[in-house]
Amino acid sequence: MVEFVIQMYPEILERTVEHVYLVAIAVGAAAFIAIPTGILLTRSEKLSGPVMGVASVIQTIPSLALLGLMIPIFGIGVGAALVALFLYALLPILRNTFTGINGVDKAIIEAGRGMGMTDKQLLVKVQLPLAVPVIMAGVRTSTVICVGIATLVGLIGAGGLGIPIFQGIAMVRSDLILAGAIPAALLALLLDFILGKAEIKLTPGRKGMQQ
Amino acid sequence: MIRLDQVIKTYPGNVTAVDNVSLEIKKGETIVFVGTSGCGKTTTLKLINRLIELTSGTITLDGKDITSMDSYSLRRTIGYVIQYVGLFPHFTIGRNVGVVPELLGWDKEKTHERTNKLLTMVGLEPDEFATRFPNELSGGQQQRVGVARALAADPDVILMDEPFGALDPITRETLQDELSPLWNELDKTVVFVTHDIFEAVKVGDRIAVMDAGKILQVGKPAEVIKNPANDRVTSFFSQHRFQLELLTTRIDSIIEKTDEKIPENKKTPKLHPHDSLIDAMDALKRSDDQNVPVFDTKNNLQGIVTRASVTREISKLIEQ
Repeated sequence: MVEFVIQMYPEILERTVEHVYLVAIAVGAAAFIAIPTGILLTRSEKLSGPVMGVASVIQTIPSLALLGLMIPIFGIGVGAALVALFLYALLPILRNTFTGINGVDKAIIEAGRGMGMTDKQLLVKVQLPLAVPVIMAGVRTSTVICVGIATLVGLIGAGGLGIPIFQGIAMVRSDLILAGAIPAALLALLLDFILGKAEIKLTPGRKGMQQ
Repeated sequence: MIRLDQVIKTYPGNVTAVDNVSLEIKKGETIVFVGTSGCGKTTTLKLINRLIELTSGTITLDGKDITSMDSYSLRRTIGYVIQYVGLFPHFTIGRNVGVVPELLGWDKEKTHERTNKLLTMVGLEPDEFATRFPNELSGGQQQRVGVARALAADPDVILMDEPFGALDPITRETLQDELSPLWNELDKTVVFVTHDIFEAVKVGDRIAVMDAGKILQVGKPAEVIKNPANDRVTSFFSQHRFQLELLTTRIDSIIEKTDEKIPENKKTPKLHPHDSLIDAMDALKRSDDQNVPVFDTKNNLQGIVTRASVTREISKLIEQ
């Protein structure tokens, strides 16, 4: 057992690093696109319905099917994997940004407007800070989803902790399966924990926002 | 000061929220729009700071048409207090009070000084409250902050939309008693909206009774209560007419001169010439004497009010 761990350690470490890269790039890009889009959608009721609809449809496509669909477009490898992960990460962040900003108490908005805040001041000083916990919850959800789905991208040659899992399945070796599955599960927990801490740091006047 | 001239607000689908309202609001007065929900009182209020844009007519502020300036600058010069307060939960109390000064670009020190002064004025000790967050305050304390915030940049005009409507009756009365003298002393022009006629006669120098987007009658509370312009105004007072009359009849006409020395005693009830018959009845009930002394604001003895004269006034009201 100990021998097995020592023997597998370098490979698992490498796979874990690959896994983290895939998730970080996909979620980072998704946040970069989805947060501004979510803000824009709160300004336009006409657009919000269709855009949310499309994002929800993407979310319902089974992950293996989506990975398969990516191959004809982006070929085999990391590119296809990243696009698929990115698409999965979009919806939770988009939806939470939208609801986070729209969910700010109407009395607070009215008070801000009544005191002469411009739309931009209201967004930057009031709506965004108050929506940070909700937006960050979306980022955390996306991250955990992506850690899970990234175990599948080994199938299209994009590496990650899926590799030892699939090898283990093919060779009927549960130790190999666990060598991939346990780090993946721990990774999801760890990233969620780190983002939880980040949320606390990023929330201004957090003491005032606790119930 | 504020002048509304043939102001109309209609919404798509031919809904008229404000129907040809003309009104002059004098500098330093508190005018109360009172009426049932949907009568157009809040809409009229929001037309003044352009949270709602009017359909036709003009509103001028110190002779300047409000549509001639940009709406953000306009709102920064008008205080605004709303029913659900709307403090920013992620700002400390101090920073909440300083929002408008911050928007106007005051320097930090001046804002800080002003904030502390205002918190003291509304009865919140700055050392204790300035660094706390809104969720650590009671509803009444939050609305005190709401009023301080509206006063922050020293506006001439303050708009108040049912400011005490969400508070329990006791807190509501305390805030009415403590805060309305404050804005009167500061000589603010206050436009106050409420559906509560008792609140209206209590805080208003004048009241404007509204219904279906129109002002039915404007006048001093006592005048409106005594001489309602029509049945709709009367029906708004409904069964409270007698109480309202007691509340709006001042004792100044029944003060009798006296040569007696009134012993200084904190415990014996005192009256003020502006007090109402209700206050007089209350004072007499607490007093062991047959009369109650009346002092003016500077604590000079004005005379006495006797049990007999109060009873006589009340029976006059009943007979009317």
